[in-house]
Amino acid sequence: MIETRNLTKIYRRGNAEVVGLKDINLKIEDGEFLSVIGPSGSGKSTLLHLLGGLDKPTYGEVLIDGENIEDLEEKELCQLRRDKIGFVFQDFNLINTLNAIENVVISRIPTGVPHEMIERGINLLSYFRMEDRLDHLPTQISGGQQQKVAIARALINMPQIVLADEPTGELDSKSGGEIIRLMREMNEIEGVTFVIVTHDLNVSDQTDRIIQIQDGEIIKDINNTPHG
Amino acid sequence: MAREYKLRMHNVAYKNLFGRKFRSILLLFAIMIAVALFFGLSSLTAGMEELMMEATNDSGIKNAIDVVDSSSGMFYGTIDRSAIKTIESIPGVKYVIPRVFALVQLEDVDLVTPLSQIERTITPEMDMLMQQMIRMIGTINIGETDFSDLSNLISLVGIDPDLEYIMGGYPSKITRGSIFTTSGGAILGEMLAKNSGLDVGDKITVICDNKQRTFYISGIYSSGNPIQDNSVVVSIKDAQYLKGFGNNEVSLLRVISEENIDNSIIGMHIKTKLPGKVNIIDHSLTASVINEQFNQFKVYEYIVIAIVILASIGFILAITMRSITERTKEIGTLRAIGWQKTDVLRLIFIESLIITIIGSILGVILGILLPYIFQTIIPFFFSDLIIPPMSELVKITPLMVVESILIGCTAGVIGGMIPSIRAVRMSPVDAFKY
Ligand SMILES: Nc1ncnc2c1ncn2[C@@H]1O[C@H](COP(=O)(O)OP(=O)(O)OP(=O)(O)O)[C@@H](O)[C@H]1O
Ligand SMILES: [Mg+2]
Repeated sequence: MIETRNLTKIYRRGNAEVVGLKDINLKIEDGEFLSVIGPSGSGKSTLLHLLGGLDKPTYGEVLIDGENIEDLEEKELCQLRRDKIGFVFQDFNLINTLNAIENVVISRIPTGVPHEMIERGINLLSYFRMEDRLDHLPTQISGGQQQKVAIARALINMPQIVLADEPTGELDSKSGGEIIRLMREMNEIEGVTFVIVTHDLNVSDQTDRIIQIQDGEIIKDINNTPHG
Repeated sequence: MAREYKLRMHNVAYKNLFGRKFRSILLLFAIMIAVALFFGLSSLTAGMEELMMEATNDSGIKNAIDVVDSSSGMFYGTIDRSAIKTIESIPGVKYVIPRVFALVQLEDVDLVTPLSQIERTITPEMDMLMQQMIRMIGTINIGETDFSDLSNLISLVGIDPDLEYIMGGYPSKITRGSIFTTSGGAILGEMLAKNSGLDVGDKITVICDNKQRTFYISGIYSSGNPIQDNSVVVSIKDAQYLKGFGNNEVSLLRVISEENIDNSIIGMHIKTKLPGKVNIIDHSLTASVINEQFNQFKVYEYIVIAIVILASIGFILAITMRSITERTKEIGTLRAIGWQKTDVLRLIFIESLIITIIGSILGVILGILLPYIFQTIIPFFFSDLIIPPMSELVKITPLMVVESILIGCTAGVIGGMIPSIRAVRMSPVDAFKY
């Protein structure tokens, strides 16, 4: 479970202060499939970065399974990001010199990639119907396929939660729809929590819970019944 | 499903390098050229230094004074042996050794590299040093000598082996055979032996003006000094015969003083005891002038080396900076998905190291070839230019190879890692937005 308490992020530029996020109190249970929507600049990415321990809050805290992630040391934080959290980005952020399967297991390379990891990576990519693209470089596959590789990379360590920042933002609606469908399937099969930031109401409509943010504050937090 | 994937840090490093070929090749070249320049310069300087050292250390030259005829010089003039007694009476003088010098030709011998060609290949910068060396061994009066006239001449030195032995003088090192014990024997300098194809046991006929004499070669000597090594040494009697000298006539007296005695004082004494007759060549002075000039030369060398290293670091930085946006984003991604800072640094370090080690090794090879390349290529473009025989001058030591590789690695790792260190220190979020 992820929980935030008075989570606040203020960006300072010289004397000017920009409120990125203000007093967010949020509970996300394991296995949820939820989306975060809101206008540009409302603080969606900021929230995701704080949840994933990529940035430090100005006030407040993020608790993962009851543990304040600010209390973690640098090394433990890295391990947390590797083992419990998966990230999916708008522009995929794959390593262009590595092929699909290598990108999927990249988080394990510093400590050595166990053989089961590679098998799991291959299984994930096969499940995403990319079994014939394992040794293709990111530049040799489509955007939708790149995002599938990125999702497999996020899932490789069986994380508790996947944080996806506009995962369909660069994709056409067909491949975007496929990506969300795959995420939903993985949510159901592996029980992994998905937090999907999106502009696209068609995407948020596929999720069970929709959190709407404006000017750094949650203005709506509703349950939703996905339409087929 | 069991497909083998090689997935260790260094595999990722290789893939990164291969995946960015253009950048990798540029880096390789930058390091290679820097290392080659460093190596080439060091080996040339080391070779020249060794040459100078051997020349100045030769036969206790530091406390030696040569006394020659004041009007015709050491080469055409004569000195009477009676001067030996006079000089020996000066306090502080240890020995006085007579020598006879002649410019001679060898009958039926084709010299591959006659003396003159060695001189002609010397650049103006080295000319001064060479002149000092020539003065030192007292063969040629430099002021008026046109070397081209000497193309088929070599120098002959007449010595008394027993006297030279006492003072540890000529010849400094017999490399093959032995010194002659009677008249009619000769020893050849190593370079002359090489250039003429003559060796121990052969016979040579030496021609001097209208006289000639045949010698058997009893040994080969080496001094490290290219001019001495291009000479032939015979007994003083034979030399006197060739020059048409009487028993009491010699070309030069070498005066060896006691340790800690100022050569210039002895020189002044000699001048006052033999007024108007002799010139003094003070070798301690020559040696110090050479050392001074060489040290100056080394200062320039260090400056050039420093510039080469800084320029290569700058160049490597420039190449690395070109791809820093992509790299920063990549580093941010790796950090976001769980890589530690040290993991990222390790990857970049391995990448830099691979490039720098290959670049340095290629650089050393290029550095070894550089003198040959220069010698071969420059005459194509500048046919008038006189190139020193660099390939023969250079001296390569294992330390130099190690130094070059260390310098290449330092430059490469510094230049290759500095831009990334910034990216590693950023928060992943800032790195994405970079
Ligand atoms: N590094 C930063 N420095 C200063 N201000 C920042 C920084 N990052 C974000 N902000 C500001 O914080 C606010 C929230 O930004 P955030 O990126 O979270 O918005 P967003 O909802 O993700 O927008 P978008 O839909 O355009 O991605 C914005 O006003 C933004 O300008
Ligand atoms: Mg955003």
